[in-house]
Amino acid sequence: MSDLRDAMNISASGMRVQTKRIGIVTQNLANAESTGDNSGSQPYRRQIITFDEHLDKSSGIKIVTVKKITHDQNTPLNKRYQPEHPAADRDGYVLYPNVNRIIESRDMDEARRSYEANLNALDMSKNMLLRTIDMLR
Amino acid sequence: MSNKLNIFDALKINMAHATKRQEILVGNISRANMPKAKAMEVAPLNFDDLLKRKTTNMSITHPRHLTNRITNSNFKTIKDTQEYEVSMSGNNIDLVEQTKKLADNNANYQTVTNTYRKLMSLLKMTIGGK
Repeated sequence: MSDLRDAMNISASGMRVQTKRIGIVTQNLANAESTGDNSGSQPYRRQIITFDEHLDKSSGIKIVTVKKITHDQNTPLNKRYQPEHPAADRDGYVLYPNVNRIIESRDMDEARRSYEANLNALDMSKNMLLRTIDMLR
Repeated sequence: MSNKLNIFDALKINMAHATKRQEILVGNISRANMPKAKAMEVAPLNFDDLLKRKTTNMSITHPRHLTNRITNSNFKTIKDTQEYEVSMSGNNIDLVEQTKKLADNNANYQTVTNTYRKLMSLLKMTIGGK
């Protein structure tokens, strides 16, 4: 019985991290146009979430947790020619966030699928637990 | 009775195996988007295994004797040897395959619990219950 409860906890941890991931993706999408407000200021940088395994000491199972949320420093920032913008540099270019909407929506899709898979697994574990209790009847 | 394979014991072992497998498969699914994560499996249960488990039991002649309980540590966790697509991050967990295995495990568990109930009802019928 406790094994099934552990299985449900593992699924729940998977759902938790995928929810966090969706939060980060929506944050990136919402900030896709967040520039600085004066010349030389930095725009929003895309955030990346990574997962890691974590031993839950109370139950001895390995759950999934968020390892780190970092800024994407590798993808170059976008540049647009907008001389009238307050954040424009001397040549009239404004730095825009390095957010690619296609990548973000693909990421969102994957997170949703993983969430659904975890939810499905949790449902199956719950059914097994209920079936075990049903044996008493 | 002690030398023969007890059908209730066999069912119990089967249930414990299915429970352990559920835990491992669910773990695979939760790690589906983790870099370098590899799919795991539980070593399959075979008939010899059931017999062996039975014969290694020591008889219990005192209530304080330790029993050879069936725990999840009885089953070995192994690396999934089936070939799956490996992603760029070194992760080989395929959600579709894992979900399929989970459904299979569930069906197996249902078969076992139904058999258990059926056996119990047979026993009850024998002793004159309903």
